Amino acid sequence: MSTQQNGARNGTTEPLQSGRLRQESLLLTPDGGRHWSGWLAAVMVVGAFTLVGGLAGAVAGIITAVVWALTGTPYALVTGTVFLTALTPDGSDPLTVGVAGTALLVLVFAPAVTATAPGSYVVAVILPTAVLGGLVWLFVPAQPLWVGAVVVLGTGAVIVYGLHRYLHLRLGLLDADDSPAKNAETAEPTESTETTDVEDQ
Amino acid sequence: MDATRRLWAIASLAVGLAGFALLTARPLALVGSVLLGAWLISRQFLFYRATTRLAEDISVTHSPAKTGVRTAERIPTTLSATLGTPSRLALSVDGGVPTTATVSEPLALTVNPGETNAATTVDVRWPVAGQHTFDTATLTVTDGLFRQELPVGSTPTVTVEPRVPRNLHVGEGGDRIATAYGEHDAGRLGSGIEPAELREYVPGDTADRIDWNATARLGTPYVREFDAETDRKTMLVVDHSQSLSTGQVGETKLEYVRELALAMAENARQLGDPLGMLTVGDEGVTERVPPATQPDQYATVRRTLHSLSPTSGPQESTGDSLGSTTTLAGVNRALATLDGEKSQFARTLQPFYADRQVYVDRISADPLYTAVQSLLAREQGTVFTVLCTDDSAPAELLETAKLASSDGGTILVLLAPTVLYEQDGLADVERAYDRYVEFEELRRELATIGGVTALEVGPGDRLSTVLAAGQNQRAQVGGEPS
Repeated sequence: MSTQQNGARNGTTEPLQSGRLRQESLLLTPDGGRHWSGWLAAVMVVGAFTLVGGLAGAVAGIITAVVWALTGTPYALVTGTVFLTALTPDGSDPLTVGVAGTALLVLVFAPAVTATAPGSYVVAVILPTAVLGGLVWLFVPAQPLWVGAVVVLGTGAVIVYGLHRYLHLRLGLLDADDSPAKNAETAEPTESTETTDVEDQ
Repeated sequence: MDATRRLWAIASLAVGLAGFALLTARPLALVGSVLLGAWLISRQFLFYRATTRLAEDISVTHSPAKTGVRTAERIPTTLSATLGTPSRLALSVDGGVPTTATVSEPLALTVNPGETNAATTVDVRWPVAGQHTFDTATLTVTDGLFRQELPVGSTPTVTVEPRVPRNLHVGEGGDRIATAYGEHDAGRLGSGIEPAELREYVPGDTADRIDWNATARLGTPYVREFDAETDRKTMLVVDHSQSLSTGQVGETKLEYVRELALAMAENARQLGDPLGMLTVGDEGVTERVPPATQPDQYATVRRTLHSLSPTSGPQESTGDSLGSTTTLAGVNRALATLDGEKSQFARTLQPFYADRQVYVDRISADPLYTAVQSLLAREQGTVFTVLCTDDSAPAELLETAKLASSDGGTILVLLAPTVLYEQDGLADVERAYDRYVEFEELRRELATIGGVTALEVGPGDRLSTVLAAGQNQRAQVGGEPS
């Protein structure tokens, strides 16, 4: 006998096993669709790319928008960046980076209108953008390019891992084996008994 | 927090863009990495916030319908999840069924985004006795990019009791016998240490048998008699034919009569009585343990009793039969003689002998009957026979009891009433009571045979239910206006 009262499929542990490719978080777009804010951002990308690269820029912008519509924001960012690099063979002047980069950033911001807490979302986008962008601004002019790349990727990885560990801490999922006290006990077995007794009291 | 494959793909895009920047020596490509990093971190932050709020908000409970069950019993168990406020996250809860329990379907449920509660009920089977605690349920949360598992909910304990005979009733007509077992009476006087009676001296008594205290007190010579020290040869005849398999697993007729047979064996061991055993299946005798008093004899009997299981059913009889009885031969001869006769007298008698032949054939083919017959042929002297069986073949049982007591032996019949063991036997309690009355008539008929004591063996709680139904029946009949 098995009955589930909400009518959902019973016995599954993977609630998102659907055929449609989802590239956005459920927390931002519960229905998985594209909203007007996204389309508006895509139009801005086409406009900015046209401004930067003329007709070729317009084509690149349209392709970027199509990629966004079909596969989602991350792939559109990659496509747009590659096109942007190709459209500016002479180097990246601040205006170019500013206009095209802002258009792509708007694409990242677009789901804010469907977020449960738009303000938090905007802050969550601005802060890492500022930190990582600042690192690029700091390191790339003064250091070799690979140093800048490593610093940006490394910093991003540290932030992601830190959030991952902090979530475990908040949920109480950190194993006792990971605790510093436990590690100290393992390293110094002669003091372990006394230390444990004190802690237990 | 685990990243899904699509998230790993997106992270690899950020790394790829950095590589692209290095390959093309264009710092501009790093902007893409920065934007992808910001995109990823922002989603992770949202997931972190939603998950921590959800962990405080959700309530998951395991609710087994009963916390005390018998082995192999199925109990519906409900797993429910309730949220204070709807969440956009997709949730699934995997109920922690102990490894000692089995389920036909996974004890799991999903809470779709926007829903606040869900529940599922699954039958959980408990095949292993003991105390079992549900494992903590695992809540899996995902937003499509990240996934997190966390333990939630209560962990109730279920006590599983083994299926063994309980509330064992041994008695007559619903009344429990006061003392079922004990030291047996020798039935005669002789040399011993237990004083039995005083009697007046008669010529022929030796002088050393005179009780001088009694003689002085009473003024005439008195002799004190003592109970004779005897051994009682006990033979357990245990039926384990297919009909003894009636009942729930672990509570079949055979389990109950086995308990009593074990008690009888232990009683014989304590008294030092010679003990033997005969086990009877559908095809005849399956095991024969000749009576003896060696210490390992009792262990052999116990081991044999424990290993008994109901046989598969009647087949071609190859039982331990001694052949046709004299009675049967006589009947056959008479019938053959009557076949040749054409007189009115012969024609009148022929149907009676024909019916008698069918009856005798049936009785003589009964495995229990033939087993007792062979037992009496082998064992010399008075035997205390304990017949453990059921009421599935009343006529055969009556004949067997008569046979066992025919040579002056005593017989204890331990009878398992079928009505008390059938799983749906108490569905109609009034009908069950009527069937019990039929059984009681059989038991009383058995008890009227000289040397036979017949006792019912069954679960006391079910018997009480049947007897209560009988009382109600009688009360209704008594209360009806005449």
